[in-house]
Amino acid sequence: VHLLVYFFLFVCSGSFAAFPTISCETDRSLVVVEEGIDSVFVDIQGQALPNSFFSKLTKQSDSSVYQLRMSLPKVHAEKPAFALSEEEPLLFSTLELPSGLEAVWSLAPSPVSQTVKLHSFRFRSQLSRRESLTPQGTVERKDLVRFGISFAFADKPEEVLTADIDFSPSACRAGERAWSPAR
Amino acid sequence: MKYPIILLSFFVCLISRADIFCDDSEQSASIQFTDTEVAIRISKWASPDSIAAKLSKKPGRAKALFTMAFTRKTGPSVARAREACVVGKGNPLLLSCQFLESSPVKVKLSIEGSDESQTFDISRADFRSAVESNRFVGAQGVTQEEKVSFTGIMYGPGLTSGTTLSIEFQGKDCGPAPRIAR
Repeated sequence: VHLLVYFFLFVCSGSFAAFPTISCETDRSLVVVEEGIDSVFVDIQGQALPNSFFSKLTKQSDSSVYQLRMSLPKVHAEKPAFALSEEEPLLFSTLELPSGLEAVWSLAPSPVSQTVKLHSFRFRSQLSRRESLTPQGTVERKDLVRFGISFAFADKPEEVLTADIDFSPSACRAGERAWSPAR
Repeated sequence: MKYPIILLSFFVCLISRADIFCDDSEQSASIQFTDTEVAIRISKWASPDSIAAKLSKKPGRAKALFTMAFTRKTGPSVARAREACVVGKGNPLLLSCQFLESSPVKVKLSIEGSDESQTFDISRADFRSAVESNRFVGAQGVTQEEKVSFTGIMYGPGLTSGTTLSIEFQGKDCGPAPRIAR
């Protein structure tokens, strides 16, 4: 009977396995990173303002909201391609990713999308605390969650483009999502 | 007994401390306080489209050296340049200065390795540092790094609006450094 109970618990825990998710959201931008069984799903939304990530990705410069969806492998060349921190649930980083990943972007929400091939893609989060002094000598502290992205298009591998997307920590959540086979 | 004290005073006068000094072998910045002036020296790679990049007539990356010495802030409460700055009590790398000169000071921009240079008359400048502590994860787990940045916004008769000068270092490349007084 005990063995049957243990077997039942084992099967159940497998069926309802929880996967970490990281999300930050404001009224104008969104970053969601969801770990799956063998992939990491990335959903980024934001405006294509000058020098922003979306202006570099889409080569547009306007205040429309764009969306990027990518699926990144968790393992590449038998090595981990993705690191997630257990101590700091908002921290993650891509490691060595394969060349030739596809990024799908569109105006959000729109069924019409464009696919671009990337030579390289690096994506990570960091927790930053910035301190400065006011002229009166008071220390000003600003905490933020920063998503750093660097990438190069497949047709211009030598030109690495970088951009940051910043959020206040209160706009971010790290949680767990029950894995569903439909994903 | 008198002589050791005189000798000690002589060395204290001879050696002064640069309050902030950063050097990562590519770029450097120093902010040195004396009784009469705050001397700032910044050596950095010129950004594309900057004044330094335009001044350098050679193609490719140019290294710019900015030297300036603010002498006095006018106003009833501050008589000396060093009093125009506040320094962080808990962190000596934190600095905030507001210079307002009675007559403009010369800020010199030179292109290293060439004879090209230009001077600017600056009558007002805000100079601040910021310290950023970043935590991120890599293959080896969570890592922490510290960055120190300096930003100067300068105003002068020949400049239409505030001209910004900024530079950034890793925290490990910054600290107080003893220097011989000029």
